[in-house]
Amino acid sequence: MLCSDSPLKGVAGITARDDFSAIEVRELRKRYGDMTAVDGISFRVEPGELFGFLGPNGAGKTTTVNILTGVSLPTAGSASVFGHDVVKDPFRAREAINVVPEVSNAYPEYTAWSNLMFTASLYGVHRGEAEQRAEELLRAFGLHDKRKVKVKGFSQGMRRKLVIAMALINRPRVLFMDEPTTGLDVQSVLSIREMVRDLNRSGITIFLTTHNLNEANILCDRVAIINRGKIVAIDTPENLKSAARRVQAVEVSFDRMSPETEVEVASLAGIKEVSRRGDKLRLLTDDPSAAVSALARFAGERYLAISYINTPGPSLEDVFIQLTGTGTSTSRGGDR
Amino acid sequence: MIAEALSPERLGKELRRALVIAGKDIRIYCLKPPVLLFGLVFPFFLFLAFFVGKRGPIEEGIPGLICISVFFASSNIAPAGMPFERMTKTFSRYLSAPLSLTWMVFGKTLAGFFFGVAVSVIPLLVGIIGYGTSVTSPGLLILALLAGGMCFSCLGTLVGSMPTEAPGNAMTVLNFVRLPLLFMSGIFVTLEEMPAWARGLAAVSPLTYANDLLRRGTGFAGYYGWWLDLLVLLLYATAFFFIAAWIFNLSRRRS
Ligand SMILES: Nc1ncnc2c1ncn2[C@@H]1O[C@H](COP(=O)(O)OP(=O)(O)OP(=O)(O)O)[C@@H](O)[C@H]1O
Ligand SMILES: [Mg+2]
Repeated sequence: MLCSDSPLKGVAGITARDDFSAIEVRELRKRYGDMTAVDGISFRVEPGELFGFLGPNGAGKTTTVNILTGVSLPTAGSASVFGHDVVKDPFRAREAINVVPEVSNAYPEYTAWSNLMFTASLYGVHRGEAEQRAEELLRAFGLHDKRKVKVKGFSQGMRRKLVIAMALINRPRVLFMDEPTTGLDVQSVLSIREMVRDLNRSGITIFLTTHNLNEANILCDRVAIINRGKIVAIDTPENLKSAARRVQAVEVSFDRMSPETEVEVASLAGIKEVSRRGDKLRLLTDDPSAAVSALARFAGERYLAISYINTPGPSLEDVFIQLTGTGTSTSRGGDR
Repeated sequence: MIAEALSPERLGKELRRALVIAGKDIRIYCLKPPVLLFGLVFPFFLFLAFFVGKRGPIEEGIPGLICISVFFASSNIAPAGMPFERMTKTFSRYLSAPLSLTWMVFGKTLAGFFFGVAVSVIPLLVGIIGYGTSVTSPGLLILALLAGGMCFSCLGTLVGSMPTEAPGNAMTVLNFVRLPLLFMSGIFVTLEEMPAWARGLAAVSPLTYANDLLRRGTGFAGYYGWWLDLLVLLLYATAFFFIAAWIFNLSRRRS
């Protein structure tokens, strides 16, 4: 959707040190009273990577982004962006980054144009350059004819796009995006994902949080799975999936299904996890053939007819369920 | 890194960014209803109610009117804006921008300062044109407006630093602080006319000193030395500012 000399191209190199990781996080911890939101996480993101941070609600994704971008201070541990510590040398660290926060926080009283100009001057972008870049970004994001409209009157999707444009006005080397597609319609989701890919291709390192497995799977070079403040796995989507090959999935559907069916199936021998997918149940097991026999016996005893049964390959979701012990709420059916 | 943080180049960048924040705040908040109501209209009527009730000559009250205007206008921008910005999460933009927390707080404070000083020109002109106020000492008058504006704006920033997302809460606290400071000051009753205990109380209110300095600038007798007025205003400003910056940092630790 964006041509080769796209405005999303080109990254300023002013404050970066090239021999450093784009993001380095060491034993980062954040406590709120007795609650530990981020529990000693460590990872590195290399320059040019599109890094996914995947986890269910409340896992600690936003907390991590807030610490990395200076909105919040860590309780312990450290983090740096291109070698600049985010707490000790925040000025340099923040000159190299920008952020698309969880909530689209453009100034509602300002027009799209003024929002871009304000952000540019806050990051020290010179007026002439800012104006040119704002023009380009507004066109690329399809907001050019709305540039003189106050953000108050923007739809959620328009706000999201504007906030992404605002985050690009200073040509950041690292872009943090906290659930950039949540709450948008299919078309906006697809166009934002396309933008994310283009941005990454143009050389921007992207740290993207999501609770959508499909999104992590199709966008990211590497994915860290975070649950209850701890990183439970970091790898490429494909490696994570093959890790799950040890565990197989069985999908089954009966002619009559009640919530009790789900509970009863979960208690069958050899079944590790059960999650509901529309009219199907998805089971995880070490031994699919034993599971299929057990299901057949179960159906016989209860006078249920099996209307569908399948043993599909592992999905990222299986890895996720296995690693986090949560599941159903983190992905919608058909989203694989 | 400390030497770098204090380099002229860095300080210049941060000052410019602080001014950017100040400019934006003035543009967005100076016409918001709470600012118009509590920053401009309310102090004017307050003044009328008290001064006209006293039946004194209006021209005697002009320095007081100017003082009240700066006081209410300067201290109003931050408490009106910040809770709203916390609610819309625009506040986090400043925290992730490349300028230190102290400079960000300074930018927020400058907004109130500029607004208050600009607003004070209205009663000053009313005094000069309508009531023959004479600016006998322009230097002291300007110092009074600048130091007063800064001090009261820092007070506003301090109130704005309380971590609420409801502008109403901050306005309530603000008026809860402002009205006592106003009534204890030497504005409605001059310091000479006060009993000793009231004079002691007045000495606590920064308004007393701003008013004293304004009176000297417009040809009335002062009570304290002009340097003492100035010193106290600056000390209050510094204290308000750094307590506010400390609270902002604390809430970053808690958020
Ligand atoms: N300011 C705060 N005070 C107290 N607890 C907080 C605060 N912010 C977050 N938490 C808690 O920290 C945990 C992690 O929250 P966080 O917002 O980082 O999750 P998340 O992974 O971004 O979730 P979501 O997908 O819902 O956005 C949650 O349990 C949350 O309740
Ligand atoms: Mg979140």
